[in-house]
Order: sequence, then C-alpha cells, then structure tokens
Amino acid sequence: MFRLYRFEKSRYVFTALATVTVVCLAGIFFFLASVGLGAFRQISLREFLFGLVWNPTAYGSVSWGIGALLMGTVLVSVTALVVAVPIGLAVAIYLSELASPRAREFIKPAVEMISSIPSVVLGLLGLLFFAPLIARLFGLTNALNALTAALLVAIAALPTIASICDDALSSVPARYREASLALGASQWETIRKAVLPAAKSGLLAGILLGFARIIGETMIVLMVAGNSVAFPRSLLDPVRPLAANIAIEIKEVVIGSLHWQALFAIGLMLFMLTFILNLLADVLVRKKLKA
Amino acid sequence: MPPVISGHNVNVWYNGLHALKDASLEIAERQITAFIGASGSGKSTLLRCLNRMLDTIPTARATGEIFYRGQNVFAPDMDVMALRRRVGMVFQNPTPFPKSIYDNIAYGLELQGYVNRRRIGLLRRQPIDPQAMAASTDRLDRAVMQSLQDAALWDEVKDRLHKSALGLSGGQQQRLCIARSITVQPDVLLLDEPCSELDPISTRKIEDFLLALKRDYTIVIVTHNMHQARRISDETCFFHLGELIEQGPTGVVFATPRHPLTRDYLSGAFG
Repeated sequence: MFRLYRFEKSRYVFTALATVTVVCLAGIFFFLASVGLGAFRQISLREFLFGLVWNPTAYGSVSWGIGALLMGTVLVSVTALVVAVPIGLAVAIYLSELASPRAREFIKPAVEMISSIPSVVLGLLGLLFFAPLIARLFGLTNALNALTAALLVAIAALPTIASICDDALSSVPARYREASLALGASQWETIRKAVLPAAKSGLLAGILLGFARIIGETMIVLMVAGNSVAFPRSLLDPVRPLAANIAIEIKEVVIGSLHWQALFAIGLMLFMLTFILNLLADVLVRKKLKA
Repeated sequence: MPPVISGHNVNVWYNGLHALKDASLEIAERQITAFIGASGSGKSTLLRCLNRMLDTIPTARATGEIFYRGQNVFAPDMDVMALRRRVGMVFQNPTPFPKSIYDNIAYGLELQGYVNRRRIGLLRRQPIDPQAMAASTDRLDRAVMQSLQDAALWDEVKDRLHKSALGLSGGQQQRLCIARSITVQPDVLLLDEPCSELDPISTRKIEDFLLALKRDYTIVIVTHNMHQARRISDETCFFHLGELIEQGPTGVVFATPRHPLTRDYLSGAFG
C-alpha cells in the first residue's frame, strides 16, 4: 500500500507539470488576444487586413494596413517553401531509400544539426555571402531583399522538412517495396508509385511544419530582408515581413498605446497561422497512424 | 519438355550463415511445385533466388546457377525487372498497397505504360460503376476485370473498386495480391507461404484459385502445411537445415519417401 501511495503522489507532480505546458499555450493566446484585440476598438478590421500602407507614426493621418507587410511574409515564405520542399524531399528520399546505413548514420545527424544553428548566425552568413552573391547575379547595388531572405529561411526550414519526411518514408513497411519490386518495378518506380503515395500524409505534415517554421522566422528576415515598408513589386525588392515588423517597432512604441496594441494584433495573427499549420500537421499524422 | 527453371548447386549465405547448401532442382512447366520443410530449412531462400528477390536482402550472397528458360538468372547482365515481370511473387503477409482495389490491380500494368483513367485522386473521386467497367473497351479496365474474375473476387468487390484495398478481409487481400501478380501475365508464379495467416475457408479459396491457374502458369509454392502440399502440388521438394533432401512427384514423395528425414517429417516426427 505504501508503494501505491508513493506512486499516486508522483503522478500528481507529472500531471501538474504536463498541465503547465497546456496552460502556457492557452496563456500566450489569451495574453496576445487581450492586448491585440484592443487595437480593433480604434482600427477597423478592414483597414488592418486590406490596407496597403503601414504608417503608424505619420504626422498627418496614420494608417494601419498590413498589406505590404503581409505581402512581404507571403513572398518570403512561399519562395522559401518552393526552394526548401524539393530539396527537403530529395534529402528525405535519399536518406530513407538510397543511402547505405553508414551514410545515413552520418548525414541524418548532419542535416538535423542545421536546425541547431542560431538563426542570427544564418543571418550573418546571409549578409556576408548570400547578399553579395545575389547582388552580383542580378546586378543590384545591394541584395537585402525578399529573395535573399527566402533562401536563408529555406535553409533554416530544411532540417524540419527533411527529417519529418524521412520519418514518414522510413515508416512505410518494407513489404510495400518488396511487393512493388516483385511486380517488375524499378527502384525509382517503387519510390514514386508505392512509397511516396503510402507516406503522403506524413510528407504533407513535414511540409506544413516546415511552413510554420518559415512563417515564424524573425531574426533572418530582420537582418537580410531589407525592412522597407513599401509594397514590394518583385522578389528583388526589400520587404518587411510581419514578424520582422514587430521586432523592429516594438522597442520604440509607448507601452499600452494603440501602436503597441496593433503590433500585438499582428503577433496574434502569426500565432494563429502557425497554430493552425501545426494542428493540421498533427491531424495528418494521426490519420496516417490510423490507416 | 525441358524444365522452366533449373537450379544447380545453389548456395546462399546470410552474413556468413550458410542458409542454402548445394541445392539443385528442376521446375516443370504448368505444374505446381511445393517446397516443404521446417522453419529455417532454406525453402523461402531458394524461392527468393528464382526471381532475384534475394537482392533486396543486403546481407545475402548467392553462388551456383539458376536457369530460367535458358537464361542465367544470376548473370550480372540479367535484366532483373524483366525477369520479375516473367517470374512474379506473392508474399506471406497480404501486401495490398494503400490504394484503391482498382489501382492495386492496375499497378503492374501501369509500370508497363498502361494509362490509368480511373485513379482516385484529389480531383477525381467518383466511384467506379461495375456496369461501365464491364462494358468498357479500355485495355486496363479489361485486364483489371479479367484478373478479378480469375481470382473469383469480381462479385465480392465489384461495387467498391474505388475503395481502399485495406478494407478487404485477409483472404480477399491475399487473392487480390495473386490477382495483381497475374495481371502482368507472368510465366511463373512464386508464392511464399501465401496461406499461413489465413483461416481454412480462405485457404481453400486460394487453393482452388491456384489449381485453376495451373492451366496457364507454372507455380512454385512454399508451404508450412504438408497437407496443403499434398492437396494441390504435383511435385514436392523437401528441405531440411538448408539442404534440399528430396524432390519427386508429390504422390511418390508422400507414399514412399526415399530419405529417412523426409519420412520422419511427413509422419510428424518433427517440424
């Protein structure tokens, strides 16, 4: 009975600690919402979402449209995704289907090591190497723009995509591969027509989590995206994505002011976006486990 | 008639473990040859040599010669994919792909360039109408329907061709896998304990199916179950600890085994 009692007690400790994480998540949401939603007492939701000009410190009439910032986020994240998904998938296919066990043992940790590089270091790499390279390639005076930021953010998201997609492919039972080979398929046909379709929900989950990582990335875009609030017309224009905008302005605003609240509203939006992406990925993984 | 497959002094090692020792055999056309023996006797290993599925086991190494209709199966320039199209294989666990029933059967022919107009994708989700299938002139539709009819599965699945094959029972899944293998019209069909996970009624259906297939195909079946070998096979090979002890007509091997080990195994002394 004594042992049982001790077991019961320790169980409370673990339950409490586990609950803390859920409370944190809910707390972050309510904290963001309570400050951020206050902004909409004075700013119309329509102006906020569809206005193109973000100028909260104008002398004349201020404007609160996040259109240009949102466009910056979209340009950077979609380009990053277009770069990171094919490379991430290729790495995953190599690791799970083609690499020898020894090569896999070496390359998989190496890919995952990329995610432990502080993003500020990736930003430095961008300033030092990528930006001059892209400036030379496109004949620009400087290349602190959406394209440079997208390439670096793609590097940051690569380990997430490659690693989760590799897990998805590796969990496809070997007997699917055997059955396909026994029907006269080549190895590539087997990967393309039997393995990839069987892993598709896990692959999609990996891509969504990579996307969430890309949208939330702040330090890299802060350093290399150029930070202009003008509406971008091409990938080679400087942009200021939503996350970077918060980081730039939050240290200059009066606490509790409308501007402060508006920045929290942007934060709330980013949070909800990544939350939905993570939720979707989770649903897909669960669906795969059930099938 | 010359044998379809003949093996001479075939040896297989797994990481130094000598799993198959100097096996020599002949497999006759349009007959069912059964490989019997206890677990670890080398019967599945020899089966996997016949269409080079042994290649999928990285630690395996094989020596000796196997000829399939005059071609040396172990030759380095052997077109393994073409060989497997001629010498198909069905596995112990039913292995339908997580695709629709139709797409499963169509898989092998799609590899050969047939166009699948009925794939269930994100954009096309309409069910397949069995009457439209029966009237269709599309060569893939015809082949899929023919295979399902041969497997006596058509009536059981015709209303859910577009649904996942994973929803079928184990016995249906295994018949689907055999149907999938014969859709590419192989010459030889290798089966690795196809009934070991099935109930007696499903087993019976598969045995009937194999007996019907014998008219057109050469069949090699590995089985744990000596009664099954006796029921359906024409030739029997008995394996013990990596050696092929005895090969002969099934009736002869079961009635008057030449080797004492065969006699003991068949009388249930071990196994």
